[in-house]
Amino acid sequence: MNSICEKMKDQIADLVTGILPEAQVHDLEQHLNECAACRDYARALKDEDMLLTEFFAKIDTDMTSRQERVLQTVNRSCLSKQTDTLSIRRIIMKNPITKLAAAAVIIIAVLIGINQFGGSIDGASVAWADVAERFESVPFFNVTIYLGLGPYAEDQKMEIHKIEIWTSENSQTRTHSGNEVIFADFADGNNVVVAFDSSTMQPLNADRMAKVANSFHGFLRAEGEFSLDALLNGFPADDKGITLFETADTAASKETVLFEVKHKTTPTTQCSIWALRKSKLPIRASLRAPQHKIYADLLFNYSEKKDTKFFDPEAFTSQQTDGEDRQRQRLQDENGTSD
Amino acid sequence: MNARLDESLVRACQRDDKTAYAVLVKRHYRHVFAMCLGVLGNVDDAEDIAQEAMLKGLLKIKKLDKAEQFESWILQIARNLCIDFLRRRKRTKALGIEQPTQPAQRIGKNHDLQQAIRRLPQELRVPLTMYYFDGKNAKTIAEKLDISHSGACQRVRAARKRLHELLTERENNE
Repeated sequence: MNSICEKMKDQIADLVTGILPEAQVHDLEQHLNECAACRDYARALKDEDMLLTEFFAKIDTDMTSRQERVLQTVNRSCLSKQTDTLSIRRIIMKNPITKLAAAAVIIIAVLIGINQFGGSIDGASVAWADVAERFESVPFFNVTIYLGLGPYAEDQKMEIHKIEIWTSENSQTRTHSGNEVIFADFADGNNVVVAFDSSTMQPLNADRMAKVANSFHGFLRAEGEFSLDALLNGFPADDKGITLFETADTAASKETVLFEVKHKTTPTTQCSIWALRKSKLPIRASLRAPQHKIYADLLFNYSEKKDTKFFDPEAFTSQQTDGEDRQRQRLQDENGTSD
Repeated sequence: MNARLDESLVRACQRDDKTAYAVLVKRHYRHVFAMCLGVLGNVDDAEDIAQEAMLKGLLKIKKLDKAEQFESWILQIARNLCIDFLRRRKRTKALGIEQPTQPAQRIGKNHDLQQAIRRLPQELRVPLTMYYFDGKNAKTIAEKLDISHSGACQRVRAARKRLHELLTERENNE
């Protein structure tokens, strides 16, 4: 091997490794044809390349199980982090929408519970069973919820949130909560939930919303009646024991009747429901669950039927875009400019 | 595109979506492991430190501002952890409390190769390991190590030449 060959070593290493530029390959191959020492060197490097490939491929065979172990550790870490730092209640309370779900689940569970044990509630010629049955039969409604949460510490104040939910005849809901607009569609076995930030129009994490929307699915009478399981699903186990209810005099006024409900295992959870005497529809529900630091007022409305576009997320996003375009056009017109 | 996907996954993690971090682990664990293997030269140590790096990433992801740079960020975490590990090992050695090493045994060509790879300087071992782990793609190494393409080629070439010398040296000594 002469001095030229020493210079060729770099090229041989590159050739074997597969990084030699195409233009240099021909000259190198010519040299290899003429020089036995360089041929040996190239052969040795090729053998080593095969060894290296095999060696790393062998390590690579365990990569899937190795990765799986990491994923399990990561999952365990997530889980312990959650249980260490947050109780289930705090997980629920962390997000306004899940707070809403928690509140709504309690309220609706109470409503349904009354229905299930409705025989014990009676008064002023209107039975709770009639109210619950009438509520189940409405094709659409809108509910505005004023939700009070906390305080969770002495130096904190109660947080107040306003949430509005519309339901359609076709198993669809639209929910507004702060900047979040959530569309849920359960028609024809669908389970589609999409959410947007109404100020930026950016999509939000819909997975998080899906669980919440599922809780509201009970509103929609999917099987022609409310689903108690669906509503109670995802709520802490100690709140599933609503089994007995007591009521006071239901006569609230000439037009309304009032039902008072208490939770059996946690009597501090109370709910008052006002219903119209004539139509037997509930118009207001007020919930007090101090152990969960949830206080909610629900106002029901049955007169505002929204069209299908209102429940269509695509129509919502295009409407927003159209609105922005119109506003831009108007500003351009006012300024006397155009594209 | 990959950086954009990483960006959206990191943003999801920052919104407490734990499933998004699992996707990031699936996308990047292999490279993190390769980096650790390159620096440490030992599969078991690389596995431990790569796992530690992924966990550290999970804990610190909320602080990551440049979400699109997740890959270089997690590789840097892995590299730093490897360096800490080597420092700890060096201190343990200096204190003379390390377990006595087994005398070298000739198990086969793979053993020779493993020993030779371990004897490579770290700046050559890392690109060589990543090169063979990443489908022999110098461009990918350049991106992951934040060096030029020619720089990556140069290091792989130098690693191959040095490795050959180490293997030949061993053969001649026997």
